[in-house]
Amino acid sequence: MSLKSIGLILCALVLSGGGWLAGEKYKHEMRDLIFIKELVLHLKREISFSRTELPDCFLSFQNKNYSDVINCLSKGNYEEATKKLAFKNEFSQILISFWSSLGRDTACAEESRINKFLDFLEHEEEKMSSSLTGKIKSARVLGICLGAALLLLFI
Amino acid sequence: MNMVSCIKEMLPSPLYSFIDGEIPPEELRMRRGCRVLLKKDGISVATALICTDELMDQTLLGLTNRSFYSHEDTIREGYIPLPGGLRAGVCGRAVCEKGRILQVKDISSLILRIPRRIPHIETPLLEKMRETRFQCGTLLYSPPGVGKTTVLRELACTLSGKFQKNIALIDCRGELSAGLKECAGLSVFLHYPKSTAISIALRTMAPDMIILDEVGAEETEELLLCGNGGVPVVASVHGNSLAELKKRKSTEALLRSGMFGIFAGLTRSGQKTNFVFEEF
Repeated sequence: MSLKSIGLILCALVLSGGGWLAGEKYKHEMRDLIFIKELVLHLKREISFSRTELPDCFLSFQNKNYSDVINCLSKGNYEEATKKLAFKNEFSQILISFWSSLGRDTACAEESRINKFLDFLEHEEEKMSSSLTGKIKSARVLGICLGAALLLLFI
Repeated sequence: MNMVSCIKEMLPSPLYSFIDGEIPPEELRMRRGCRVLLKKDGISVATALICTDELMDQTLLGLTNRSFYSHEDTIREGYIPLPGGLRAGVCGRAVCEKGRILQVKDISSLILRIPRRIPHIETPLLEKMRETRFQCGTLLYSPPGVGKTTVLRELACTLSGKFQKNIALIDCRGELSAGLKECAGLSVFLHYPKSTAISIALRTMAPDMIILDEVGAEETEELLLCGNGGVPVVASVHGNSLAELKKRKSTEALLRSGMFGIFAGLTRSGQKTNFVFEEF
């Protein structure tokens, strides 16, 4: 087999792989969103009912997959924590500004701020889940098709 | 970790340099839009640092461990309790209902008082108490910031250590017992309401003496019970002179009850604290 055909096959594989990974990224983003939603719900409970201090609120949330994120949040390194998640820049900024706004007011005010943010998260989750299957499929299919087309064109 | 390190960890970086140094200040005072004031040796000095909104917010965040809501109750009472028996006094805009404070918002002023141990500051008072074989109640008075709490703290330490007395120390704000971990003879009633602590101490701890800070009209009944029950009380109260305390309704009943035999006024010149003993 000539060097040219090996290169073509590699190109096709890379394109297909890229499509596959793009699909995985959407899945990852959804997982992170669910984690954030659960964490915010936990914060709401801790703040409203037991007035636990914010670092302890974060640390009492059990999730082994996100322990490094939780650690950063408990230390107040909100930017670093958000960097570890798979969100787009715009959403990351919203998240950082939400974390930074916490702990500056009375419990009632904190609760209403958290409620508003939870509404926003639910809306985002709905939006993401409705388009998720389509996005994953189209990313993967597009990648595979491009790879196959490239291969067919040059063989 | 000592108290100064504790404070440094909580404060934003522009305030670090004020706390650094061999002798930390007695007091750090901040008001939004004004210069930060430091008190050393009883003298307030304005620093070059302006307390901006951001600096005040950062300081509050640090002092409340990023959890203003978890300190709401004490902020309503005018302070934020800090580790190691420290506290920061705060005031702002109160939201009231039927004369009761529901919330304090928009904190505008903050004062951080750093308690210090000054060994032997209590010696003149101790001598006076020894003359009465520790059987007499003692009332300590001075304007705020002269050193009543410091004297009471050292007195509690010496009486429970050197004189092996069982001392019930009633510390409702966590300030009086700051740094007294090594005194085994002390029973510390931390954050108890004063009147409840007095009655529990009397009933359960069999103290030789009860020490408490800043007595008011609310504790009169329990204090009179102590005086009549043979347990001397060492208490402090804000005031310039005995004559002034006699005129005040909140202290009049206590003074007339005869439970105090020693009346010690505190004055301060520079670093030195002086006692003025008066007769009732």
